[in-house]
Amino acid sequence: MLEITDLHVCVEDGGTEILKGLSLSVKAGEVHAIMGPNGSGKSTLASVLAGRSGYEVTSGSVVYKGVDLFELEADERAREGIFLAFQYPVELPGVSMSNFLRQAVNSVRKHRGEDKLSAMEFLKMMKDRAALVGLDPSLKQRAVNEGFSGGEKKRNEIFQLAMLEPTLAILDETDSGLDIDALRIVSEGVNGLRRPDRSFLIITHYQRLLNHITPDFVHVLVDGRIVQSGSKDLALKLEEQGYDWLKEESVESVN
Amino acid sequence: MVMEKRFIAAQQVLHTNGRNGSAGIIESLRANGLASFISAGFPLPREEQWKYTPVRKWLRDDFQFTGTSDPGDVQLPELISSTKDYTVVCVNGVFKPELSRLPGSELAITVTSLQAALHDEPDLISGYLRRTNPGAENPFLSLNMAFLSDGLYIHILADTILDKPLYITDIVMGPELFFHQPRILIVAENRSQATIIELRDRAGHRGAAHNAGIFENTVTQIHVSASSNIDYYHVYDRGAGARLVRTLNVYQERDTTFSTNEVTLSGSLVRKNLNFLPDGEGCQTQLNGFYLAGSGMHVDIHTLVDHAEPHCNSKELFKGIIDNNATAVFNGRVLVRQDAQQTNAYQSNRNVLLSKSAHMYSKPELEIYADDVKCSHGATTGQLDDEALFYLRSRGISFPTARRMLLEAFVSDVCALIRVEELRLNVEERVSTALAGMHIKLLSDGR
Ligand SMILES: Nc1ncnc2c1ncn2[C@@H]1O[C@H](COP(=O)(O)OP(=O)(O)OP(=O)(O)O)[C@@H](O)[C@H]1O
Ligand SMILES: [Mg+2]
Repeated sequence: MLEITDLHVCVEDGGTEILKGLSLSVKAGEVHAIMGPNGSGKSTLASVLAGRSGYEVTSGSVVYKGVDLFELEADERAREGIFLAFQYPVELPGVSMSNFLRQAVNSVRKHRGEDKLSAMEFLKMMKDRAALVGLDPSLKQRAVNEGFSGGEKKRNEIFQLAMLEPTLAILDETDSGLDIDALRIVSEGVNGLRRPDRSFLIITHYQRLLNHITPDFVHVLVDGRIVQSGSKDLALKLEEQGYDWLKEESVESVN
Repeated sequence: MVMEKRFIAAQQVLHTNGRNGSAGIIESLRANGLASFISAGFPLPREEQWKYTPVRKWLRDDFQFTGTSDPGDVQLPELISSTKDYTVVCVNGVFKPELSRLPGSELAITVTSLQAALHDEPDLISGYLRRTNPGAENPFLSLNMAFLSDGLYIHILADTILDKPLYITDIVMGPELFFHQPRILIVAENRSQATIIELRDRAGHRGAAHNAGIFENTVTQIHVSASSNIDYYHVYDRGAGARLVRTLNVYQERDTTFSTNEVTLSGSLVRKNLNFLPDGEGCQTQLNGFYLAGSGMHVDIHTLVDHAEPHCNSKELFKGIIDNNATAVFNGRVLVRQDAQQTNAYQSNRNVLLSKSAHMYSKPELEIYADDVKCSHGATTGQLDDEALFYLRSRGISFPTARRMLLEAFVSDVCALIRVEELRLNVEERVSTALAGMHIKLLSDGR
């Protein structure tokens, strides 16, 4: 599904290096959690995978479904099944949720060779998927994310995930800003979306999300590199001990 | 004066011959107009009011001043043929009752030609026509008067509440380089209410819309008598190449509400002089609008709200999208005179530039001589938000579609202020078409 090899990424125009040789392999249907201290490069990785501008890949490769990911524009990647749930979702005043989702869903469906949904089918799909993630129905009448609370914005990301049915979903701190009940509902939503052909990359700081969504692998990203990978137990250990022991190890391994 | 001479000569040819000795009221109005046009002349490049709009550039053609006398089949704008509301159709500025759908006799409203009105009530009507808001004089206004022959007069009698919107449209049929100077006078008597739409669309005759060479110098005067409420709209979409200089003069008596929404969608030159004089206490004035300055267009909006009396509010919102090689100008003058205490005046102008070769000159001009007032203004000019574009693209939406969606969203709040739903939908459609026609070269990275 996704093969990242020795990826080096800088801020555009000769800025500092953020990812410093990151490698990761994700197979179809797997759930990978990525943890790591603030500023270690987690969102940068997510952004580079989704195709945000402002970064420069200086070396390494990312192969997604057998093709060089960097050959594709952001919107092509999305149509090929990559979905990023933003850490900070963007407000779009004047763009209605329904227009936004109709455009998005139809673009993706067209690319997959599926028929355009009728107005009725589309409305029903919106209704069902909103219920799946516990999105307040009144939010669908509003402009995208405009004036949404922090938690509503995060739920809206998962709602869009459910609508677009991606093959690789990247969740960047979707759990932050969610209350305890919302966390459970959103996690159940995500669990309901797990498929043998759908992989998840879940970026989080907290074990509690992983209590609900059981990852197949946990990776720790420190200073632009994955310094440790393991099973779900690694997340428990991080929760107890923090990252210091890993930072020391990574320094040692560099030396 | 070489340029002016051609216009003066044309005026002489047109209007001296028909004169049968006795100088009637129209002749005297024309003579006044001509005299002030001769003394003013067209604006010179350095004139402050025309600094960014060197209007002479668009006046060099060898214009003709009369339209086709027998237009034959008239093609009405789609909206005019489909609406169930009232319609007033003019051809070359002349009212055509046979093409119009007027309110029934149970409503106290008169729609007639200006010529007939001047004939019936010369003193009253000429009094209105001569009236200009202070500071609103301009040579185009005089030129329009110098060529006055007919026009449209709408008289809404006291206590009349128009139950449906009334669309005015003026179809232009004439030579290619037609210099067209229509005039509309609307008088709303005390406690009346109406929604009036002035639509200048590309429809012509037998479907062949060729407006590319026309120059329109239009004047609309609206007199709003005490306690009346007029909701007015102006939609300009004559098509590529058409030129417009428009003067709107609104005079408000006490306790009146007047709002306009000015939609500009096409044309090579669009210059609007929008003048408002709330001349009594308790007036509400709203000026909204947006302009889509497509490639090569020049749009210049000059507004003047002259607060002379206390306890009045004015609210102004103009937005613009400016493409490649297009220029837009917004000059919003708000004058709060010494007696106009407790004035609330708010103004906002926001623009999006789509290219490095797009130009925007935005200038708020607040002149405040009263001390107990609330006035604010804001002007912004920027580009489309990269984060918003990325968000849409990350959902699979192609770049051109994402851009169009954000631009539509940008003007959507001004569209939402159109209270006539049929008109709003029509305008939104025109916006989509106009935006799709913008072949925008992208600023940052040529995506
Ligand atoms: N466009 C940019 N310009 C300059 N620095 C950047 C840019 N993008 C990211 N960085 C820097 O790169 C580092 C990694 O940022 P990133 O957002 O990827 O961290 P993160 O692991 O997601 O952190 P957090 O847990 O706080 O979300 C930070 O030091 C950040 O300031
Ligand atoms: Mg982050």
